[in-house]
Amino acid sequence: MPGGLLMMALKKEVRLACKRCGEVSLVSVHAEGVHAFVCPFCGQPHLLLVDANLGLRDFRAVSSVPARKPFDVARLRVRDERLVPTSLKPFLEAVKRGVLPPNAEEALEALSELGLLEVE
Amino acid sequence: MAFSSYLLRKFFANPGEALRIKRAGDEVRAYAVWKLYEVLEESGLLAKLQEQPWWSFGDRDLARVVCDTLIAEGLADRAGDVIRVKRRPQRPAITTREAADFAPVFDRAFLYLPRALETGEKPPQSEVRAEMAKLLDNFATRLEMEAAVEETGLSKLGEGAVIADLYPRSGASTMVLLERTRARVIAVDPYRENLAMVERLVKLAGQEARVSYVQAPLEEAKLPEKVDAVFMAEVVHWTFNPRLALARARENVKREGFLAVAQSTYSSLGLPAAAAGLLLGAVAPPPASGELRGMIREAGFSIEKWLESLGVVIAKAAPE
Repeated sequence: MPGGLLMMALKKEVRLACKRCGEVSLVSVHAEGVHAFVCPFCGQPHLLLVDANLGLRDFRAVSSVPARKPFDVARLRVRDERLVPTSLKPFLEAVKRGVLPPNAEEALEALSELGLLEVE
Repeated sequence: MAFSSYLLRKFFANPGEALRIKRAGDEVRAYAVWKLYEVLEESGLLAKLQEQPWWSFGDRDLARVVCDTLIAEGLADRAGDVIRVKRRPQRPAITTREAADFAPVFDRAFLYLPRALETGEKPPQSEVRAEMAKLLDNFATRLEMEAAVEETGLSKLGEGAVIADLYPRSGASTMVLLERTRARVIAVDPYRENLAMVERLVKLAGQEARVSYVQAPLEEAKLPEKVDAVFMAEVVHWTFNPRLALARARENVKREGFLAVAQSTYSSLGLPAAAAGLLLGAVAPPPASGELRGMIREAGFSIEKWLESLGVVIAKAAPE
């Protein structure tokens, strides 16, 4: 089915080697943007940035993530960009340019506390 | 609208920027008023405001602000304790980033207006946390804070100076101080979750070394050291006892220090913004200009600078 082919084309398997324990996990990404990943072996949280071609642009260990899905990645999206405080706009703009800024987890936690972060 | 003191000073220094700021303020005000009118009309409350006195509504402060806004904008006349609507506003064009950034706050806040007016029930803070943060942290409100930092001389304080940032809430004032001054900052807020939000923004900016935190009600705050300046950005009408908060500010500032205030007033843009503020966490309408002067003086400060434009006051005051 064309729809099925389309779905296949919009999904990519990615191998993620945990930055702490080194264990490799195979996860699938469906969309660009920031994703949260928690290593199922050691519990280390990570953030990954996926580009429009579903390529991995950044993958880093962080102190915490606002969402976790066992053996999978959680896509993090802003619910209503118009309500993002001006202090957090540079973070969003950097992500749109394909850059995950330092201390990105702080921005995500702030968005989460404001109720502006959606988890898919 | 008067092209008054702050804008006049700005005009002599940078005419283009002064005109742009005025246009931004006018656009924010026009959008807020248009949205307010639209919500009142759709909910049937515009008709009720013409029949029922403002004091009979569930939230009297809000009803009074709404009526005064419509009257101040020339959309209605006062007829005793009710209003008579004269004309409807046109949807304004938005051309400035300040207005574009502020408009969603009115879109969201005024959704809660009909219920609050009729029943006095406001949305719980947990439900409107994003809206509250955006009310205080948008390009327009930041412009007000940045102007205050510049005009009061906070920007001239050296690295050894300390500024107490009273009630930063979502952290916009703290970020402006970090961006526009070299001083250390003590963020003073009664709520732990607010300080947690400020701390996140500070970490995001990589400025942890410059900021410390004190959790205390403003009316009781005793800082670990006397500070060179106290910054109060849109605080007076968000505080249960602003006179006491100002008196505590006076106790916490050095003798040669000063108070810097950025505060909307009960006029011009301050009126429709007050309606949104009352729905998102402000505990009272903003003070009138004269009332604010009185509060600052009663707390033991002598006013050294007073600039007022577009319903916003920027003031500098020294301890007496």
